[in-house]
Amino acid sequence: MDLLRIFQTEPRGFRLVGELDLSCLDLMKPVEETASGGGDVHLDLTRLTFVDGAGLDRLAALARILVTSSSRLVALRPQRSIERLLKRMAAVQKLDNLVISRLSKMVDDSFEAPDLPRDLSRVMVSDYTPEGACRLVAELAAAGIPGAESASITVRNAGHPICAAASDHLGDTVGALEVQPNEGPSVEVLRTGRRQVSSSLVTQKRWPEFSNRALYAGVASVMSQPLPAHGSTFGALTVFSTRESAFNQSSFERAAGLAAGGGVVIANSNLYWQATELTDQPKEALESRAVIDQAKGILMAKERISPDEAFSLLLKTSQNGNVKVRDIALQIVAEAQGLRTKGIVA
Amino acid sequence: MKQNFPADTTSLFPVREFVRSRALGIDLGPQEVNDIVLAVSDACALLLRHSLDTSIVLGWEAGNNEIVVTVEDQDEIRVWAEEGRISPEETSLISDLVDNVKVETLKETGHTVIRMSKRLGKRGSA
Repeated sequence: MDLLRIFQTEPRGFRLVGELDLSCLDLMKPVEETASGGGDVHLDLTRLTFVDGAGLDRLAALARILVTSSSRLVALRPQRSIERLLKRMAAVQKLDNLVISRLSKMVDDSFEAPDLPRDLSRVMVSDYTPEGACRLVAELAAAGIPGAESASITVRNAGHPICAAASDHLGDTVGALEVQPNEGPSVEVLRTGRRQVSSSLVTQKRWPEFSNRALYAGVASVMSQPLPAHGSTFGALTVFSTRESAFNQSSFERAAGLAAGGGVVIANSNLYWQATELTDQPKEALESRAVIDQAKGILMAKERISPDEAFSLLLKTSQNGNVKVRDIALQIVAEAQGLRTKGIVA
Repeated sequence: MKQNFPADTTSLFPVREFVRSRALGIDLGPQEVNDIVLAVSDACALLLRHSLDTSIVLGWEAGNNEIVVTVEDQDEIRVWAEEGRISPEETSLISDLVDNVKVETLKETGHTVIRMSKRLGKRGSA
């Protein structure tokens, strides 16, 4: 998984998610190309968790590009530790056009969120463990759902809710808070299969123990969306904000869209790793892999494609139709067997 | 204790994880943890920019009153040209994050070492 991900949020705005260090400076090129066109550039740094000296130098270079067109580099809502570094850098390098803003672009109606379906469609489940897929969906949620500052994924494990992954430390902390008292928005989602929202954990005490702990961690409002796959809810995507009333209709719509696509990605990743690792439940995994391999062979012969392309086609069909890869594979095999029985194919 | 890392930029994240886990183990405040993690990561990045070697050795010592962290390349043959040296400007960020930073070339081995120390506040203990 990339250490840093950059989402273009508006024509001259980007959201940086992750850590910016010497190893990923090249990822900043699209931002620099945009800056060279003139006009202010907005960098949403809400989800940037680390920047090193090389990363700071790169941001300084970006500010200097903008100086040439009398434009500003606007750093939106950096974490306190990063804000301190940016201020130091601006002072040392005399960057008068670096502006640090605490205003949230996320609540603006003009905010254009990342293209979440497009981001998900690029995911190869073989590249992500189930936990990694959960973390990816959580990060996309924190980056792309209006109002969200952090996110976590809760799933059932042996009948009990567990926090499978989170976008960051805050999501990890608050996501885990629901497990012990077995109450909270995502536990409620797992129980009911319906979206849960609390616009104020201060005044609304639907989950008293969770609310008190979450408030202590700095969270003021929360929304939890069912994660569906193959007709049932297997988990919850929960987003958090340090502000009350952070989520609106736009947030709900984005969350529903991301949960629908993300749920399938997580489920498919789980299936893929079950089928390939063969550590737990070897018989079932072997059967899954066998039928998937059979289906791949059929597709390869029928479409004249490579094994990797056949598997990609299976995954794509699965994600588009919200159906398990194994079920798609079974269908393909059954169809081929039916045709063979009828003497249509050899 | 000492830990080897490949001399590659992809090691920077594992270096930070290593330092963070050690720093959290001695109950530093969040800001102090962030400072020491950034300082060590930056020191490694400096060595990577200047070194031709294949590994970096990170040393961690936490006493009662201070933490001492060293990052050292293993280059034995390269002679440091003046323009190849790590300049004070390059360590200025690190200097702001720790109490003392020193760059030295070990006479016996030719290795370059960046040595950083940070005094522990009331919360920290070995």
